[in-house]
Amino acid sequence: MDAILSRLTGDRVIWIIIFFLSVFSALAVFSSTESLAYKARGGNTEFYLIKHLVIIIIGFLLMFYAHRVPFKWYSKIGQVLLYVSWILMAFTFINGAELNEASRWLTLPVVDLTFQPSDIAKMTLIIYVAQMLANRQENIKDFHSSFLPIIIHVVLTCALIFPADLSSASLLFTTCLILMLIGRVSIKHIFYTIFIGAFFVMTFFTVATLTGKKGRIGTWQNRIANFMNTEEDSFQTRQAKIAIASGGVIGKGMGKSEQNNVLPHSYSDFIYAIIIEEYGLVGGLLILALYVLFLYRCIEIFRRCKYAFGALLAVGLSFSLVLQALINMAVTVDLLPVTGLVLPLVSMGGTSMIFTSISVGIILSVSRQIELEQQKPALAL
Amino acid sequence: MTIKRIILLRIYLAFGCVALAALIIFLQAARIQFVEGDKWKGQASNNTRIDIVEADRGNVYDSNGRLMATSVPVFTASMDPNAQGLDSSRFHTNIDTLSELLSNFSKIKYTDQKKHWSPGVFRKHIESARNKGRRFIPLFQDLNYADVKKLKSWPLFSKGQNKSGLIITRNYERVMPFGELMRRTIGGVRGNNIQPVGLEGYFDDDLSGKWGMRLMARANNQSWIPVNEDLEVLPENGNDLYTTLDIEIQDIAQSALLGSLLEHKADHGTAIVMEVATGEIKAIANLGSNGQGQYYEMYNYAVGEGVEPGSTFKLATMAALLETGAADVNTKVAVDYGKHKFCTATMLDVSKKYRGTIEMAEVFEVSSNVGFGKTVHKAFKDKPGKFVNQLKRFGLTDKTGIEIKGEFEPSMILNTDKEWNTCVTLPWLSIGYSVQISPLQMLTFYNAIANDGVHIQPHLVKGIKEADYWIEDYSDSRNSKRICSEQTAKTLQQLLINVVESGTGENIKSDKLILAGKTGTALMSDGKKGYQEKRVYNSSFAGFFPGDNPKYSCIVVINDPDKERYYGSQVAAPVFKKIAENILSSTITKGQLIADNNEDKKVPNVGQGYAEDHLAIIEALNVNQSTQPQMAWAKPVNTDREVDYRYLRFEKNTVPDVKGMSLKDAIYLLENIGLKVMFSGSGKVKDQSIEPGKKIEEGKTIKIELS
Repeated sequence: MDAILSRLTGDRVIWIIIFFLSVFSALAVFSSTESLAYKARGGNTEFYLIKHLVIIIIGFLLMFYAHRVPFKWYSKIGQVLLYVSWILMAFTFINGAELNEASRWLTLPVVDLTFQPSDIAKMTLIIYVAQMLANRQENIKDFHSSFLPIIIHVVLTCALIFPADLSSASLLFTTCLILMLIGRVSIKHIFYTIFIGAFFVMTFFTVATLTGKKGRIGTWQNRIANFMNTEEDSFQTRQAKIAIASGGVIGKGMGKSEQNNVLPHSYSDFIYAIIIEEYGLVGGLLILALYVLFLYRCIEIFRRCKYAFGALLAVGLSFSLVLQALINMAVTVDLLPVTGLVLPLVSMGGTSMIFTSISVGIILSVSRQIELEQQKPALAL
Repeated sequence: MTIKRIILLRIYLAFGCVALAALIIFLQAARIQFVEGDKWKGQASNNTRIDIVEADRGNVYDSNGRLMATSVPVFTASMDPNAQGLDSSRFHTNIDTLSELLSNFSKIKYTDQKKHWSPGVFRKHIESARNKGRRFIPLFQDLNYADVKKLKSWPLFSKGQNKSGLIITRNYERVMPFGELMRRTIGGVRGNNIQPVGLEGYFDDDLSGKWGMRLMARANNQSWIPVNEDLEVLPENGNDLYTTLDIEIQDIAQSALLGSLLEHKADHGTAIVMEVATGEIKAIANLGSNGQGQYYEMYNYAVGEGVEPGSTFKLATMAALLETGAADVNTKVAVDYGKHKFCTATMLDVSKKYRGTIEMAEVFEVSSNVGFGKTVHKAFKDKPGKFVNQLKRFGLTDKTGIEIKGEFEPSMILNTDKEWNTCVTLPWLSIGYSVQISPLQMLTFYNAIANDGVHIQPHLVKGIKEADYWIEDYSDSRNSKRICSEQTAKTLQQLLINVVESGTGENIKSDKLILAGKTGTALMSDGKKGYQEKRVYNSSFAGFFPGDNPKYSCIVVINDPDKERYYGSQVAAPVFKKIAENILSSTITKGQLIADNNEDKKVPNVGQGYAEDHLAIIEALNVNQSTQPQMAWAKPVNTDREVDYRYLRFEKNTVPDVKGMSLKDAIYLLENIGLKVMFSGSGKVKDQSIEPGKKIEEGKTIKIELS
């Protein structure tokens, strides 16, 4: 353990934030799986806690190794993996109906984690956008050489994710637009994109509505309708609010949640409600602060990084993570309609934990590089 | 401004937005707590609830697979007169017919005229409930499946719950097809303030299965609706209990016991039959008087009641004498007139006949207290521990571990106890006083002697099955230990035969088979009053049969027979004889009996298969069903004239057992899981080439043979 701790390089504050989030994660997951665990294992809640702890540890190890890799290496592998994920997604999209359920998923042995190609696409797209922005800073305002190639990658990726996971596709699209905005892409072009995008989404929904409520479209319409209808909250939202209200300022205390029995997905989508129920507004505020601080530390990395790619990479990945966290929490407190996005680094759910850990590892890799280069003069002396 | 500064500025702008969003989220959480707090907290407990979904309780079977206890569904019918789909026109066109039908239907269910409503009353009742906006009218209780089917065939009710308001709810009722027979041993767990008893109580965890749970949310003031379409926790059906009991032997034992109880106006009695070689209990009858000359299974005397056994205990004393070498069958002892004073206490024989000096064999045959008391006192007075340790070795101070809660804990005054007085306790212990054991514990010792000295733990349960698979099989795990030499056991067997040949049990000598056993008549101590006030006797007989080749051991204990006759030989021994003779004749004629019965058994053997097909066949033949299959696949168990369905559950990824199925069902099942089927012959599946329970290898060929 000491060997690993002494080799933890990169921003220490980020490591500490990750540690705190993991602690919250373990506690809240343990508490909120009680009803779930009853279902599947006859009350053996330790099973879920152990499984979750194993995933946290795997996540930590992945983060550790990812941060030891020089970040330039990611620029090489990012683009390749993005295209591979496109092919896989296109393949499953076209053959979707004919293939059986299992082959649409990639399964990691040992930990029994399944993930879809879209999980890889989400991360690699941000890496590649950061890379393209960095390479094109000289003539970033140009439509043909800068804006077009970037937006094509973004739109194509999001379009491939869109059918299976609307929430993730929208979040990824938004994150990329913010990243482009930060990366000095012409604001005019970005606004055009938003208008065109909005137009397509409207058309899509109109056509989908006219051809009947089917599949996930129906679900989405329901969710939005539920959200718009302020009189009638959905069952989940109501239960989440009961959890938040009954938590009070300092909460009921560790493992004392009662709403976990009735709140669906209390261990994933609505874990923030359970955290407030058990640790109160104070706990809720702490979680928010941890994410904001995380983003701030990543901006520090950007400030100190001499390389455009590394700097944009850190900012892009951190915005992606923090935006998802905020959306999840906003859903929980009923500011947004139900999306199905989990709270990164906290919710139970192996896939999210693994990929988020890798992203954090990449951010820390940039931070580590900065430290190494600052030490060089010292060593020379 | 450098590029980097421009970018940084934009980043800070975005960061500001994020921080603002975080603040809004926090404020919203605070708003939910402080502004809307009371509203939400008020809903915390009363807005959702978790409903228990009952699981099917497992069945209890006898050793031949006959059903001894099962759960049958009972239905309750009620009506929601304001059901969503029950619109005004549908209601008014149907109400007359419905009232008529309800009224006629109720005649069947309630013969009581006060409860019988005319069509007019029904009509008024329903209409007024509808007008008052009520959502619930109870209609009928205790309906069976056929009743429900009939209700659902009526013009309005056939439209379903939403359009007609008919609400059918299902509960389970425990039924014992054999009534009083073994009621106490089978036991039960339901009811207020009732301790779970018997096998049902002991194996409750296995039988009861697991409750399912369903999350319900409040729809309005009165009604609750399920939050999710599926159950949150699916119930797991209970497992089936296979007992060692044999209903025929039980019937024999019970009626023999009842006959004697009635004849002697006894308070209560018990009779147990055990299989010598296996320790399996074949019958266990317990009957107690209700004070009005009727007898019921009230308490498990066989297991739960401990009494001073009296003379039946002399077998253990004799065994101890033989094992220690302190005396043998030829050892002589002077019994004179059957009276001897041990220090302060005088011991008497039942018969005051002068016998002079006789051998131990005769002492045993005539059950002389003095003979035993003197021999044991002489042999062990200096080392009473040796005698006590022998009795302990015979297992007479231990519980048997029978699968019934509340087994009596044997108690015996030990030589290390304060109450012990070698001069008095030792001789009286030798004739079965100063020791309290249950009939079952006594029988276990007799069984060991009949089993040539090997003690076997008595048991009531063979194993537990989940659907068709044994999940617990206790048959190989019974404790057995040698408690005395084979030589000793053989000698004792002969002594027991002699008792019936020419001793105290002579009156039950049988011309059909050799009986072996020992009589016992114990004066009961009545609590603090001692043996004095009211003389209560405990008559018993324990032994085995056939004497030359022990197959069953049996004990009969009858408590407080009337004063005319109370000796074990007069009261308990005849019951023993009747049981032995009837078991003998039933085993001889069994084949014949079954053949006769088959004549009027109308239940066709339909084998296992697709449940709906079964239902069609069974209904077409008008056979009674005790339960309905509720799963896609069922295995019917024919019980006399009814068909009871056992659900078939198939393990995932394993080859199912298709034996007994029709070809159609077998092919459907096997091809569905990826196997290729080849078959030969016609009729039902007789054999399959891949054993059930094997892992499925897709695309593999399985051959099935039909007959």
